[in-house]
Amino acid sequence: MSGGRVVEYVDVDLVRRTKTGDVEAFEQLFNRYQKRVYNIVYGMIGNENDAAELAQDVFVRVFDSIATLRAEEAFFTWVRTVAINVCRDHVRRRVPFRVESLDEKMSYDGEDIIREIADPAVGPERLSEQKETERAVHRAIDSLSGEHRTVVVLHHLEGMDVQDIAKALGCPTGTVKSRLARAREELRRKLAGYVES
Amino acid sequence: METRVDCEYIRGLLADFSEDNLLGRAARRARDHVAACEACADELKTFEATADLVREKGLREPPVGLWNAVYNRITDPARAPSVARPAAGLRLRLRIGAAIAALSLVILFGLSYVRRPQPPSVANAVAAEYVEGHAVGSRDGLFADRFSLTSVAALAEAEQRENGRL
Repeated sequence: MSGGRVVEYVDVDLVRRTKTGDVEAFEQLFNRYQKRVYNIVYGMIGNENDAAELAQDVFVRVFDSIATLRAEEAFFTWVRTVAINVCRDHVRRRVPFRVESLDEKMSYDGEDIIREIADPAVGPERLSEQKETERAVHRAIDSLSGEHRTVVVLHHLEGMDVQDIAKALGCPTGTVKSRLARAREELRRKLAGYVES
Repeated sequence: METRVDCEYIRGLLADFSEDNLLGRAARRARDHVAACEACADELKTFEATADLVREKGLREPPVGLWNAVYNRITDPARAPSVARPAAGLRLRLRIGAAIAALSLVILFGLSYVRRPQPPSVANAVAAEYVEGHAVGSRDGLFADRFSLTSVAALAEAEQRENGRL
């Protein structure tokens, strides 16, 4: 029996118990998937406060509508769709603002200047190498535009294939592939010092 | 023989090549070049290594207390569920109940229609007038029976006229 099947069986049992109003069963589902949900939401929103709020909304909506879930073995696929829809609704409602890439040129008195995000952490020499790499990766992902960050999170962190991402976001697969390529190019440039060639 | 121009051109395609975005001639050219050029092959590996690094280190920890916030919301008795739908069994029972209620309403409405007092017809109005007249006339006693006969005849005539038989 594969690990995936075991997960499905456990999920099915927990989903059925949650349908009867068992909050403890729902807590177990929450513990299994909160990290993935939070990362999807964070990836699509790019803001810690909003991500925490929206992750709550996702789980509350899941709890409220779990009775409508027929394919209980595909619980997380359903949760992921709920999370993506909650984020898309949020982005649609939000006042639009322009996302600036840190790599965009900025000039002052006719001279190009380099823009950087201030790093509030102590120097890398005092941090473990692992932690520093992790922070660098997070910073690099944060610096992507919303569209690029979304596809990176869904594809690289969530493991969704390009077709599923296109379907979830309502755009052509070619657009998803193109965004992935541009995002990967940008990440590679920003993480050059951390990537072992 | 690979040239510097080839390398520059191919490196511009590597991001798309790594995402399998290239088609036909461009894909073949990139594949052949990378197979023959060690520098570009190394460059391609950095794209793959970047994706690996993002997968390995990209996940964040959710904030502490997320469950408490969710728990408080789902157990709040004052809250209206965001997408409330009863369970399948309950939905079936609700549908049956609604059908019974609708049927009962139809039956009650039908009964009340049948039992409703009919509006007085022309004949009834005429009859009422004659009966009243008879009652007044019978006080004198002398023409009571004659008045009664006249009343019945007038009633029958009015009823027939109303039914269109005359």
